[in-house]
Amino acid sequence: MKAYPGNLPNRRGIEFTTDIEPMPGSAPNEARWYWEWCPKVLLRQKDGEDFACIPVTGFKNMQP
Amino acid sequence: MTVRVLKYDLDTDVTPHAIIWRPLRYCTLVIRKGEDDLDKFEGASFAIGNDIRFDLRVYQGHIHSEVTVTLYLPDDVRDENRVSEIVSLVIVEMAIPDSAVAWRRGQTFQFGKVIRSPEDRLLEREVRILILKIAASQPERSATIGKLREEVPRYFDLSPADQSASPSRKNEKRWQIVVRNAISSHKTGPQTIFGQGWAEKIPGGLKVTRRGMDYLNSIGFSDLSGSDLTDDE
Repeated sequence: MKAYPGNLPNRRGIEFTTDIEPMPGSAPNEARWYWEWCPKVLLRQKDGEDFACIPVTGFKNMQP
Repeated sequence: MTVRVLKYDLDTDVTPHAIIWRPLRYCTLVIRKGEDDLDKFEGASFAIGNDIRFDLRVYQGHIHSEVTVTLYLPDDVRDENRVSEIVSLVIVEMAIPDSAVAWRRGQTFQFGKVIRSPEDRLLEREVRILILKIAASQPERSATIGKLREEVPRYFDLSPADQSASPSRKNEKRWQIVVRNAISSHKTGPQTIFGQGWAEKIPGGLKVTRRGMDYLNSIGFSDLSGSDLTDDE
């Protein structure tokens, strides 16, 4: 799972906050979470497809 | 060693390992558009030798996206020493100054903050290659000093030090003097682009030679064959 750090001003996307620390493999301009490396990252399946999921403390849908 | 531009992107997931305070167009002419599970990006794929593959990418939402590129390696390159070795090699082989590296794997960082080195400014040894790149991007692979000065700010994020007034010529900025010096007639030593045979002087400017294009190809800036240049060039 990948995300830009910070807000998403005037951009489409999902803005969220989480207590889960990003993982090694992250960079100053890119936060990442990998389910197989972090027990707090959950693996969920939908329609036979795997998704890495993290609990969020805030959420804003900025999709058009 | 030679940095080769790859025609196709890396067919694997990639991890960011360095952020370079230079626009993508500074690094390469061969820019393609892509999209992955993060976002849309512009970038290019490269190889060094048979074993090293890497991408330079700028995602739409990256901070300082106009003036930085991020270096990505395939996910299977995980050993910290190997990552560090490859990052160092890429920087050297693409002729990128150490001062341009704003962050690299192993350095501490704060999410959302990319800080440019205060040492990073336009110096003559870098501007020699920069003007070669700019001229190579122009029709006839040539440029006047006026054109070079017009284009430099598109390729290099001029620092406040670069933009300060020249002590010797009050009506010019320091970076403009650096550009002038790089192509001035008395600079014909072996380290100049003329001494290396990478460019030849033309009235009011310079023209990139076949050898110059070969050099730019070798650092991943271009992948042109130079077939439209005569042997004399």
